[in-house]
Amino acid sequence: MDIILQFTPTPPPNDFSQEQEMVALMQSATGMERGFRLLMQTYQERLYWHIRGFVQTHEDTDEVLQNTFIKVYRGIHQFRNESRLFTWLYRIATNESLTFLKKTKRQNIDLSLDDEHTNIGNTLSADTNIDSKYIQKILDKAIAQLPDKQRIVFNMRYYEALSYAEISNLLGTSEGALKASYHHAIKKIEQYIKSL
Amino acid sequence: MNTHEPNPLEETQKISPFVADLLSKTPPNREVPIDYFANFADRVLAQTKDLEPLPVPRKNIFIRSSYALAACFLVVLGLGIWALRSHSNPALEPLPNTAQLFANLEKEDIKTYLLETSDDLQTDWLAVLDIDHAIEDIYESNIDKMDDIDADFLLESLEEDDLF
Repeated sequence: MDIILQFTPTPPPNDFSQEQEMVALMQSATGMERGFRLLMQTYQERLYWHIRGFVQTHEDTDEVLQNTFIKVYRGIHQFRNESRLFTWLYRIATNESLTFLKKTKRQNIDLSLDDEHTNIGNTLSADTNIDSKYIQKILDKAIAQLPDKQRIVFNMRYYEALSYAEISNLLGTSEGALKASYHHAIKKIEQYIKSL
Repeated sequence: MNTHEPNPLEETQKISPFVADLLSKTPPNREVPIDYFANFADRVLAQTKDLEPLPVPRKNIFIRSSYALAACFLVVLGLGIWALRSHSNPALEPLPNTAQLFANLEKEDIKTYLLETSDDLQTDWLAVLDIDHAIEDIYESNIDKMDDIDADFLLESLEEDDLF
């Protein structure tokens, strides 16, 4: 497929009034489609990368992202502005990702490593010529082994570069618990790779 | 954003220089088909043509009143029982939360509990469990400063491997 590379997801909008306008538009009788389109255009990229951290492949991410927005479309009248719209979207996307993973039991992730590479953990750091795509494949596999909650925290903290305060707000968990989860996730990635 | 918070790579470096080194060498796999985001909204909107948004939840005043009445009744009942128990036992204190329970638990108590509930655990797992290490690991996570929800989150995120 034709591809482009994207490394930096756009930051979430901080404009609370813009969020409220979108919600009001969607909840009105005539502005639903326009509001929904605006909402998708505003958040699709950010949510895409959030989901991609869970399900790895573009095809699966596309499916989960569509399901997420369909749920938003159907449930917008039940959104009460008691939390930020972005927080609500993030939670739906997270739940949809976890549901997808349970449904597919991660069988869709083909991360098999070449047999020729043995004792990987000892050579990865020392060998500066090793293919970065291969290292990424190993990292993907190590991350895929993490328990769901540790993987959520790892992806949000490392790949999405969210602060603990932001993650805490999105997941409703204290920063202390998140830091501990991140710590365990990193240690587990290290142990996994060194055991290869 | 907390400006005093290290960036994720610096934080990872402190936890594991090995992992940080690998992460720094590899841009994340972020390939997307051309025009994917440009066309995405149209594709989703096409799927919503036959969908109806869920209705606004009805506010059933009768049910809400019933709940409120029941809640008041329970509060009064609870206060009455508490007053009665406090009166009969002045030394009675409020129930401790998870953090307080952890603070009061001896390692031996935890070990005894694990052994007594071994039917729920895999025997081979129990046999190799380094209980002292496991408990230290939990305490390092500042569990005594967390509320019940946080403690649940952390404990759910742990696996057997984390306890060795």
